[in-house]
Amino acid sequence: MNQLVSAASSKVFRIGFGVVAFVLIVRFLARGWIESLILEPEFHFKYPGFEWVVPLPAPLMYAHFVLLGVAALAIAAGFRHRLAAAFFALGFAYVELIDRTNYLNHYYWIILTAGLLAFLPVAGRDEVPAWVVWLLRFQVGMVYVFAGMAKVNTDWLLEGQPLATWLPARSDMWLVGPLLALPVTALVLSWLAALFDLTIVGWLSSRRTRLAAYLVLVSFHVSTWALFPSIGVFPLVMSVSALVFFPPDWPQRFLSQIAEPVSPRREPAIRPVWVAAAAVYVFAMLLVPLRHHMIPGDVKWTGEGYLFSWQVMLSEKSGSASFVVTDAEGRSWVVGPPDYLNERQVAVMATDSRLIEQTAKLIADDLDVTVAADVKLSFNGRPSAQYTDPAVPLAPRPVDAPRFLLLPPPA
Amino acid sequence: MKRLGACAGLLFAIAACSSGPSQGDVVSGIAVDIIVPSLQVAHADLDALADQVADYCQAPETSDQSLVLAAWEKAVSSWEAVEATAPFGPASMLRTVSMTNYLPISEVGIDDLLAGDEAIDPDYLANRSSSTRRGLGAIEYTLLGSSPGDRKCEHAVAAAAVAAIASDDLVEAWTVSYRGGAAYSQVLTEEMEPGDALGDIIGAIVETFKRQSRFEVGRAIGVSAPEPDLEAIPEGHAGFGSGRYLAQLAGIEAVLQAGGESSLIDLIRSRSEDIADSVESHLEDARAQMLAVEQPLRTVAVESPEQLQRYLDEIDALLALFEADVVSLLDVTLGFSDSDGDTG
Repeated sequence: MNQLVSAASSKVFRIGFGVVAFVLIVRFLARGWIESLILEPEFHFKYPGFEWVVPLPAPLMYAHFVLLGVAALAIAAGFRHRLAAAFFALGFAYVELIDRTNYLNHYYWIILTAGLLAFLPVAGRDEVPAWVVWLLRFQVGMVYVFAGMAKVNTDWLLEGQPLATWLPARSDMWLVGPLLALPVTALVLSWLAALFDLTIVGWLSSRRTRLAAYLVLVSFHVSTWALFPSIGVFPLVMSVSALVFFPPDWPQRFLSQIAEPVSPRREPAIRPVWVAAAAVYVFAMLLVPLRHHMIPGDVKWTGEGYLFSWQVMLSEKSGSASFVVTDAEGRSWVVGPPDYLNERQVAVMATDSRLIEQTAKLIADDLDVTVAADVKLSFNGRPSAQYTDPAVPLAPRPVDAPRFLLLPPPA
Repeated sequence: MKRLGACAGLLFAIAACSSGPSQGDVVSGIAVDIIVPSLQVAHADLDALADQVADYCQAPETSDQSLVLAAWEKAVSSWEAVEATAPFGPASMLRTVSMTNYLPISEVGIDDLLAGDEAIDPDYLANRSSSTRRGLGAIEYTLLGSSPGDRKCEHAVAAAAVAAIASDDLVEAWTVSYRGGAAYSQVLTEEMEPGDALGDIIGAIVETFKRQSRFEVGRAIGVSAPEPDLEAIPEGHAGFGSGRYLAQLAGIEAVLQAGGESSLIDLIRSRSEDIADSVESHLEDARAQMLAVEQPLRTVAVESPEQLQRYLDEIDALLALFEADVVSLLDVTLGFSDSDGDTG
């Protein structure tokens, strides 16, 4: 692992990552998401422990995104890449921490990867220890492996859900549309996707199958992008990043030399502490996605342990939420989600028990009442079922009270 | 090769036959068969109301007020059917709803207007007056209510003209050109993603149920308010509240059935028989509950709130069905779609 190998592929990884990160920031700016996702909402759902994270005033928030774009380009260019990557990781994490309804798996991956690049010697060197390349391969591979493991469930493999819900909605697509509406198509594609996720790292790791596997990977991501355009930069970032599975010197072989000015210098030794840190990172990345196995209930229904665990495109949930409030005089009535939540926030909230709880607290504070949630949830094609018990108050609750229990999922 | 081609052809044929209508077909059916014709009917009825009010006001003492009232009820019914299903796009951008809407009105505000000496003409009402002083509810108040003075007709004629002009603009936006571009019916059926267009249509239905449940009937009988609040029911001196709700339900039912075999209810049925049956049966039950109401809704809310509670139960069931089940089954998003998403 400490053997020195060509730094070329890790540099290509860095360049590709920087370019995709830049595209990500440009999309935020061009599509008005800074306004609609960050500045316009009057209330933001918080992550536990990060309640203090609030949006900057509009001009500063725009400036922040411009700086993120500059940092992304600096990562790509290899200019003070560690500083740029650290800024990007922290700066984009800040953006994501503002509102939990904005969580996306690939945003989380981009933050983690930027964080990794802040510590890895992926610029200015001709050679790096082999473990650097392996760590980058792990960073890419874990997404597929955990996403594949998450697909091993009856909904995905036996019912073809949620693809059986999503694909018929694309039956207007040119040529393949009618086929997408067939139930068997969802089932076949579910199996293919699970097999792809579970085995692609193996195929990419083998010299004999690597090129074919990479072509399959690109085709897979192009297909998912064509079917689900709202998946954003995920197909792009994974297609570019997966090049790291090729031999470390592939860019040199391919282009004869990498098109980046490199100042020849002595390769400083990498301190063992960084190797140990990398090992801790890998360990944590292996544990965090599996934490939901320690929590009772189906992660797809409860949502507990769903975030940060590569449950990518795994469930289709829609909820209808209202809240039963009771005042000090014992009068009870029903209210909807507060007006200051936007439609996106309401839709995400109605499918997430933690956000339902936050909304209940919000209403309790606003109206000085006790609040219970009456939420009906449709989940992976099943008829909607009662998600929360409208007779059990969620707010206010003593700090040390046990967490409220969701009602069991439908069969 | 020929066999392969034949197999592929067969597969496509099976797929086309077995998968139910596409979202695009459904949106086309709704836009062409329902929304545009409904808008044209609503515009014609609002125009007829404006004429009827103008005729009546030439000699109010000797004219038959029941003719105006009949025209007004017809206009309310046809407009409510439209508002329940197509309040998006041009209707919101052109502020049509604020020109025609039923309520809330400010009776005090209208009384002040009538007592003042500002000329009450369509331009003043449309552009320099609060929305609480115009629309179908305001016309009802000035014609049937206890508003003072001799300028009632001046106000009613202007308010009816404003509503007719606004609906004309709306028809033009849907059929001729919207904001200098194509007609909105074309935007909806050809330029928008079918899923987004369907999201707008289903979103309008959800909002109608939500409004009835949480802000109107629910509040009136104290289900969504700490105390019963009769004012929450949009109903004036004509006592036409039930007619208004029946018109909204009729509009929603028309949207569900539009397009023959490419209807929205057929699309829902192709995904789930149970959900389609539930939607139809709750809609039918809601209509039956409202048809059984024989008095003004505000009176019913006081004398037999359980009657409205039964209606509310059906509307709540429909709200949950559309917001949770239909949205999920059809994979549409309500109100937002232009953002990345990979968590399903």
